Amino acid sequence: MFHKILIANRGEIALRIIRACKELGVLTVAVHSTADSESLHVKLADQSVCIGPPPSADSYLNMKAIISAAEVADADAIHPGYGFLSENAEFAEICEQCGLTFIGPSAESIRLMGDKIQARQTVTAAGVPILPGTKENVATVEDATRIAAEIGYPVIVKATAGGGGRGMKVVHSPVALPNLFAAARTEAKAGFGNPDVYIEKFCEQPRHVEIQVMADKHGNVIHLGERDCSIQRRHQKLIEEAPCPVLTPKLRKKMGDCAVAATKACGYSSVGTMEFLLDKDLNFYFMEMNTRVQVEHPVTEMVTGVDIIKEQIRIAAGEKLRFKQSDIKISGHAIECRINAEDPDKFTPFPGKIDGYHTPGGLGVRVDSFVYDQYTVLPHYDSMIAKLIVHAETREEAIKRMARALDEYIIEGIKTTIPFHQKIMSNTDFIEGNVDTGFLERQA
Amino acid sequence: MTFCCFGPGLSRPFLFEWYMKTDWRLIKSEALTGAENMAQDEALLESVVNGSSLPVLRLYRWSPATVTLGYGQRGSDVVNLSACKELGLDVVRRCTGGRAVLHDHEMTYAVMSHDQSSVFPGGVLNNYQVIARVLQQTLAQIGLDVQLSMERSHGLEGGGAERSACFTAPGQFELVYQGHKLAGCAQKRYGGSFLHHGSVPLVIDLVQLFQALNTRPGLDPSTGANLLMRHVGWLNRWLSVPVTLEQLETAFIETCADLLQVDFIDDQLTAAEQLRVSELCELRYANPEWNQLGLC
Repeated sequence: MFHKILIANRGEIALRIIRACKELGVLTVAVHSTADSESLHVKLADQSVCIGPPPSADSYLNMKAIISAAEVADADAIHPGYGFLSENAEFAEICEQCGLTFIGPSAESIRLMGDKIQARQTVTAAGVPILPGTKENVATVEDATRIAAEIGYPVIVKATAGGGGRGMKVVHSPVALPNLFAAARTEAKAGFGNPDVYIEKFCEQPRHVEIQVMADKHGNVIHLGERDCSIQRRHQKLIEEAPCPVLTPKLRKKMGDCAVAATKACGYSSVGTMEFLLDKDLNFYFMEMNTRVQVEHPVTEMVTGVDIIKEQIRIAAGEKLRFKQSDIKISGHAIECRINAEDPDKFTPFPGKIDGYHTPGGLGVRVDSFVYDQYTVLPHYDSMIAKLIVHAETREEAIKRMARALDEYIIEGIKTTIPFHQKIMSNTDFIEGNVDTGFLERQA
Repeated sequence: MTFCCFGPGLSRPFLFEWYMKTDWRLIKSEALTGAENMAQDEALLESVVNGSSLPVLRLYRWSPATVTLGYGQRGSDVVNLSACKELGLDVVRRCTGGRAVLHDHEMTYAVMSHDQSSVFPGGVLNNYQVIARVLQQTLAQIGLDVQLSMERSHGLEGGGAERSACFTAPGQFELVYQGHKLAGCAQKRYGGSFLHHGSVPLVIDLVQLFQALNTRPGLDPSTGANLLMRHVGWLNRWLSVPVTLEQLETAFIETCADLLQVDFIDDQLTAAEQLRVSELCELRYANPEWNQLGLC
């Protein structure tokens, strides 16, 4: 096991890693920008080093300063958390070159999964379904008809040159294809000066479902089940839950097996997440792999009882996985609400000083946060200030528990997204589990 | 001579009436602009009101594709005017109520008649129902068993394109297939007569519909298409053998003739009606100010 870990991050995840380290008996080094000197992660770490001015580029993304801090503090490993340098292959490489263990996958794995085309090829070879389609130009209506028939309707025709709806057509049946295909090419030509279009499967009412995987450096890979992260606003997740309300044990096993196969195929070690789209007919398609620990990892921890951060550190230290797949049991239901310092209607950031703070408690309630009364939420960084996580026997009970925990949560002086989450917890569609990635847009 | 029974559910149940077949004008127009189409409908309504015309069934097409707004809708609130311009769509306000419709690959029809006649029992909903039954039977004939929605819907709770679009909210006696609205209609009542507007899409370009009606910035078009797809329907989404516009129009005319006991006389607008069309275009439908006025 490591002697001392430097945490190259801030906020709640820095605190989360410090907590794991303390339980493992590992010393911690916090790094911080000048603006963050009063932050809780700085106070709770065994040691702290200031690495630069407030802008992230000069501090939390400043590789040179972070490596120097690790050397000065005599750390033997660096935990990157999420965001910032967590999926930066170059940083992982530099750490290794400097004799520091990067707590995460190898630089090669980060590169491989960061390259969308290579990632798709790799997982396809491992038998994982991807959204069927071409990425190359489809030139004639005959080709389009043949390809669409192979893929299966509905399909979406998209301009290769750009987005924004220009040259984009959703086609439900072969009869509509010739007209819409021609229209897509005309629009693409008019919009981008290039008529090229490609065709892929149109995923109806997709859910975002991701599988948590865990792989050691000895070739053992398991998964910890799924999380449903369909409640998103403009691709930003806001509420996550585990398990996914529509997944059957059979489908969970199938998706889990796929995730494990894909993880093995890219020679991955560490914790990671395979993201899938799950359509209304329960077909699933690989989207991408996140080669880091995720914001929403606590919901998986709550339903499996596995401390993902501690396991991630153990894996980096070269230990074998302590669990077999058959040891992993999903128990109860967990929900996480991301509490952001934002206007709950407009979702615009609302930094400022917290003047009055009370966290909820009681059975099955967990708050992962770094703020406290009189703390000033800074405008320089991400607006998430807390994650409220609940665990209960059933989904219904978890929703009620979340609603009462949100009612108990008092944060004054700034606006937060608590009122938004309160609305969702009483939304009939959400309560019935009738959600997809368009859910919030339907409510707006 | 025919014996006809209006079933329960109408305001005059079990009314038995002997009547002769009625003559109607059948006007099939070339593809016209949004303004010309709307002006023709209103000019024909006026003719019916002042007694210079028989009842009319008008079937028409659009060039370019056109977004029509409900009489009470304010353009800038419910459609993305700049997107419409970019997509080359006309935007015109109807004299009938309801929500926004993008008219493209569809059968569009208008009925102008006295409110009460041998065909129509009188009253908005009753007259709606008469036309809805004709459509229902037309669609059954081409292979789609659609339901008449009996509930009055106030539309979706959603925002943007979902709230603006006519086809997301079935009204009473509108056609619904597997929970999707398949036909839209609206009426204007004036001088003891009515103008009934209706459309039945064969194909809908969801992305275009979303772009035209989306007033919320930042939402990506494929998500928008997915949202609309939950509620809007079109015939060739479900028909295994696709129907053409000509087939649908023919079936509709035949069913109308049969079910309503109407003899159609192929006709065109009279010179006086044409003159009135020009006036109405200038006064209203080709006038951007009037089109974007709305009420709310």
